[in-house]
Amino acid sequence: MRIRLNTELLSGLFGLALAALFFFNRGNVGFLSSVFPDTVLVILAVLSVVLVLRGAIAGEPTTLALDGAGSVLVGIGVMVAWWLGIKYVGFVTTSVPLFAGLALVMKRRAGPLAPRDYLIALAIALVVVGGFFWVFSEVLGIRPFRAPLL
Amino acid sequence: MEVLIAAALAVLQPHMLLIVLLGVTAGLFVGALPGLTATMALALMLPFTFAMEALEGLVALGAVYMGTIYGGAFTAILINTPGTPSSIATTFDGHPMAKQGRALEAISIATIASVVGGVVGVVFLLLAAPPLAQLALKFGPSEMFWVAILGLTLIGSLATGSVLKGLLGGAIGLIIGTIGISPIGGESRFTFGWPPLQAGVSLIVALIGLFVIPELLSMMRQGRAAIDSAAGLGDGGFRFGSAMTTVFSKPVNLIRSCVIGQIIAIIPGAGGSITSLVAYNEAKRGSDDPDSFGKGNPEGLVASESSNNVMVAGSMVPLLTLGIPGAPPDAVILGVMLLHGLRPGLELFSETGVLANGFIISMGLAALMLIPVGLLGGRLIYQVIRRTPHYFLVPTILVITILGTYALRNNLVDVALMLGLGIVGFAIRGLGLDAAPIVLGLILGTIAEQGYVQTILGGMAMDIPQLRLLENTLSQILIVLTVAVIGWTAWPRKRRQKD
Amino acid sequence: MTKTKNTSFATLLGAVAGLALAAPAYAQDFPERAIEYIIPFNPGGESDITARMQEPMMEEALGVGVNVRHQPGGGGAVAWAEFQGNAEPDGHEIIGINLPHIVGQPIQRADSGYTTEGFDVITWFHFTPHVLVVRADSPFQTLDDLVNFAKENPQSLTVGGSGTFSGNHLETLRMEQLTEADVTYIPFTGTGPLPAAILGGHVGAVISNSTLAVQMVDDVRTLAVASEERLDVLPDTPTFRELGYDIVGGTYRGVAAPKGTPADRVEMLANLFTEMNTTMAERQVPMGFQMTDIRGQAAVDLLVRMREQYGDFLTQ
Repeated sequence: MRIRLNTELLSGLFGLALAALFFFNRGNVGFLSSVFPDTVLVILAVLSVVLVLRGAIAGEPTTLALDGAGSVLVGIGVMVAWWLGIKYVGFVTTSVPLFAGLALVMKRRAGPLAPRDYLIALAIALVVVGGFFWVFSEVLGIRPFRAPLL
Repeated sequence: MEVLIAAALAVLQPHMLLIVLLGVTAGLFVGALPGLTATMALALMLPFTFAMEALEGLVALGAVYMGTIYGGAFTAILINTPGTPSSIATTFDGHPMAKQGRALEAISIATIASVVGGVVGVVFLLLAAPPLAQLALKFGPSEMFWVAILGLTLIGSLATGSVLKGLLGGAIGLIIGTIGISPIGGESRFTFGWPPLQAGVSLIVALIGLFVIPELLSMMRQGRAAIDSAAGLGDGGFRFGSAMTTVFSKPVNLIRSCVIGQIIAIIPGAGGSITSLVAYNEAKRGSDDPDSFGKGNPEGLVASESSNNVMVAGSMVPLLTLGIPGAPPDAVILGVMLLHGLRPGLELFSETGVLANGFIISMGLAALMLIPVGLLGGRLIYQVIRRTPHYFLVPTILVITILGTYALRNNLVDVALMLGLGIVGFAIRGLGLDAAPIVLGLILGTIAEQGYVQTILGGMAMDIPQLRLLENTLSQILIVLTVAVIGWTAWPRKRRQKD
Repeated sequence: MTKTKNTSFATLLGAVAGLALAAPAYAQDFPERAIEYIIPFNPGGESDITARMQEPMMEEALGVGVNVRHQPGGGGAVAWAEFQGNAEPDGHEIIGINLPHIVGQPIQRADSGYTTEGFDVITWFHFTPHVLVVRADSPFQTLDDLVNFAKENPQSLTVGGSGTFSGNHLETLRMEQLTEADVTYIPFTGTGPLPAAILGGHVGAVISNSTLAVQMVDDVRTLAVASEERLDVLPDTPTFRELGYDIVGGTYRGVAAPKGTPADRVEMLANLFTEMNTTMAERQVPMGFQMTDIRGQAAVDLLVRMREQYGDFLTQ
């Protein structure tokens, strides 16, 4: 599937949205803290407006391929779940199933899965997650995660 | 001279060579992992170095430092992910080379360029430290402001597509960089009421998020196609001989990159993050065929890797002669020196010459050690990445990235920021907003702000404090350079359009 | 890894047997696992280097691992906020604390995320008094030279220091108040850039900790030190008090446990840090540190004194 998007207009709008987000959260800070971000906000807004205008007047839509958008959404979902899991459940208990699951989802696009694949994925997930967790916690000395489980 | 010989003898001991070998090897793997920085590696080694003699400790730190900066090149080449900020520019041509099946050749070229850079930095340090240190002192607040502005002009020529979008990316980086405690005002701003944001968005968090996560998402998207390009890294072999020819056949590029690396290394606070970008940019600008850059031109790789390894010894100039840590890892080395009762300054060279020169010589040894260690380690990492199916490679990189980001400041908020920036970065990459200008804005924003506000504060007794920005000769030189670069960027573009 | 560190450093400090003996008198059920020692700053700073020296000695004395972790950000505030919010008050988690940071930040920032009183202070083990330094070729030979110049030329003398509303900044404000000098304070990000600022002549003077004056002793002139008595490492430098200005201040470094940690464990750790001070003094006193042991009521009094001394500047 392919869609046609006016990327100049859209990047301009993104820039404007970001500028607005920061503008309304400037808070009450003194001159020394505000002079630089204020200047940057003006630059950001001007660049965005120029992009919006160019996009609206002379913009040529760019064709973007949307193949595999589903996989991207799965990927984003996995990342969000991963972070929540590390914070509220535990690093290893979250990472092993998500690792295996992501691997299986990705492999499945190349063809149907055999029962053996599930075992392999789980085994590799255990080794990789366990191995790196050990390296980071025992050798590189990261601080333990504050989660109920390992 | 006698001091140099005595120093060389002190370092050329079997146990010293072993320390260098182990240090370089350990550093290489740390540098190759996204999120693990040279600073962290050096901090972890601190307790060991207390137990060592002063020279041994410094030699170990220098070797790890050298290895880390070099190790960043592997992931940059193989998976388009800079392991350390100093290897951002390595991705530009290194990864396209890998995609063309020339991964090992790219590693060879990066290795040779790094060795040249490392050795050149040591030579500068041995021969020219005092004048370079005097030059370093010229960079006050207003000069730093202009350095940052000059750096921002890189966007014009780094941008792969539209210059306007590149500039927008730079502005996005600048505004993200203002989150947290303001460097001069000391107030917290743009925290959106959330205390953890006082820490701001660390450069490395943004670097990993904006480079690694979009790469992983596009590997997920392409599925099978990604395997073909990622695992099809080719088995062209190291081609060490032809890599030597490639590196040395363009001596101008090599020399220019080393000089750029040395100059930026002594500018306090600019650090290694932008060295490789500046050198890359100059290589592209000086080339007969600038359009081949970004598509696997080895010259770009040479520029990036030689300049960033000059920086390792190069940043020792202000550190050893003045006690000024130019980059975060240097702060750790300074701490070790002070604990061993060594005071930076010219006395360090006159009174403890064997130690100071031994340390410097050992960094040269560490650079030479990169050839065997780098080629073996490089082949190992290459084989692992090549043989791992893409559906295991992606989650593995994700695990390392998450742990590495957490390890940076032991802060889970950084992991959330990294993932969030990565997802947004992936979306806006589709709109033509690249990661490199955003990261450049993030790096230079803080430098520009500090320089600007400090200069204005210093001119409080004047009617128009801003005029202080224009006072010094070096500032004026930098302004002229900036104008020249902008003119250069705008002019040939028009000419090309006419053709 | 921890074990290797332990043995290698233990060899070096083999003579420090007193440490190993001090602990068992208390230890029954504590510590039962590794101690997490958080440093809220970047590697390489004074807090970090000190903690790295303490780490192997603590392991030796306590018989468990000690993990020094960095959690930099917001001038320490991020780690302090996280610690007060989440750390278990059982003595296994401790954190480095600094004065006047933990007094200043909660007053000055609405979102610092922690409170000054939210710690059980174990002990303040270090003090580095402030110093006022100028470059060795500066026309200011004495503090009075500098003060007179700053009175005659308002705002034209620049004084560099680390951070805004930091100890350096607050001390400059106090100095201006007491001496009636009118200077412009220029904050830098940390102590790292200060040598360049003074050697390069980017600022007219620098206010910083005594360690910087010792480190740069060949290149700078130290006009005055903000301690009660002269420092052994800077014997020729007068104190502010000798010169007629009641300025005593600097940076205190210490360790804290979460609020509600059992008092006997806090006391045991305090004794341990004090024991370690005697060992570290050999290396650190020549660097410009003063070893202290301020705990219990004295630590509370110190916080009150700090707030009286600097609070007005912060709320203005």
